[in-house]
Amino acid sequence: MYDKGQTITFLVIFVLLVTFPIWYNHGDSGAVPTRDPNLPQDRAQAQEMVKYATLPNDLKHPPAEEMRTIHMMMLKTIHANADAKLAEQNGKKMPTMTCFGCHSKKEQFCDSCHAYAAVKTPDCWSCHQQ
Amino acid sequence: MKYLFPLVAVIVLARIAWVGSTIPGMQYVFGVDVPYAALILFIGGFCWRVVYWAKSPVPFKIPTTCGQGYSLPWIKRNKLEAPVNTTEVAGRLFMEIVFFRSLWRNTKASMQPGPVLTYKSTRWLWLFGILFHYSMLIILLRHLRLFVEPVPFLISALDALDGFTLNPTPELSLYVTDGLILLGLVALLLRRFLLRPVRYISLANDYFPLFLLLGIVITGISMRYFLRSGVDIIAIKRLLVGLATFQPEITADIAPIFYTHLFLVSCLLAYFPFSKLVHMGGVFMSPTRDMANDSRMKRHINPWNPDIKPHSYASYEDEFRKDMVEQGIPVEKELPEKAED
Repeated sequence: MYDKGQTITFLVIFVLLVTFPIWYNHGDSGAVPTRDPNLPQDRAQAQEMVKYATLPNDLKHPPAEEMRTIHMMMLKTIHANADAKLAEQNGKKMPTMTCFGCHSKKEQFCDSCHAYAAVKTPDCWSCHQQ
Repeated sequence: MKYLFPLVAVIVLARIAWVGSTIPGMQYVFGVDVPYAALILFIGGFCWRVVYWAKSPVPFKIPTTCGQGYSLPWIKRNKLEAPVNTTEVAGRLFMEIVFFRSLWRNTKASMQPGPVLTYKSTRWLWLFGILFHYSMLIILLRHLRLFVEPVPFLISALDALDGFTLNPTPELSLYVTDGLILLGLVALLLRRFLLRPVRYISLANDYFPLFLLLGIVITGISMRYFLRSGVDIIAIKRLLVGLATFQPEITADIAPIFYTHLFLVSCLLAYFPFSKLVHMGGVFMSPTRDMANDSRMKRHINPWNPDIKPHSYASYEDEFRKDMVEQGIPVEKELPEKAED
């Protein structure tokens, strides 16, 4: 092999860069966020409660697995359908979000998963009432 | 028609993953086994390729130059176009890798009325090439958020810089690079379709990477913005961090589009070292780019030159003197006098 030292050095740098996640995590997969602990521990009871959850515009709360993947789409729909007059109320805060009727703590409900997936922390309270 | 086979191949690969990942028990194959195999092929293949290149002898000093070389002191030389030492070679390689300098110099010859042959610079290839490559780099770095825990600040910052706020859900930002990579890839593909000379020289292995990358980009964009149902990002990150810590686990049903995206990326990784895509390593290994233009300062010895000992006339005559005298060929030094008995 010609220029052995240089070639091997570059290859080692390349392999280190490609395997960055492996040595950065060094075998520690970290804590995975858990289900919102403020909901009933009994899953059947929680599933029953979901049926009666009230969302704006008579939307239905889908099962938890579904809600986890599409809540951003639902929030978009809710905002798109929101009463135009409400949006015009300058200076006045929007009504409290119904999510927090059951999911009482934002840190355990929104932030834990958003932090894990490195997604921006939701800030609904620049418009909505706390 | 040379594009048809690669197109069908990419569609078939996508279908295999889409249908295959819905078969019970196959999620582990598409989520864990295939990515690991692809990564081994990628790293192993890449190292093999570079070592193979490093083993190839370079018989001549062959840097391509397109500027005034090193000459007499009062002649201004071009350090980047005709580099004479390692620093200048590194400078030229840096400009090539970071700014795609040789594409910037691209010209197009055309015949104007007269007739006059004119050369105009065309930088479309440079533009779309750089759009694609830099978008790809940023997208790769951004994806690290799904592979490492905790996420380093630089990765989150890059993610934030790349994202356009989409109201009313600013958390689901619109990535600039998603659009740019699509633009770059479509333009590079259209170039092969629409420009006749380029179409003529395009082969199946030119189209395949483009279709494969388009497949990856389209599945990725759909998964983020449109087909969100079943794309449980927490389960996905759990799986990918698991892959990076050698304890993979699939904790939820993930939609087939995720497995399709992952499978196409695995295909790209496995295909990479054995295709033209390995120009990533090759750019460092090109003798025309990484040699110094110093053939008049340093002697370049062909590594496969046989070891030939010098053979002077005197030694030649020493070897054959007896035969030469016998044949009556004049010699410079006569045979030694033999003692007559």
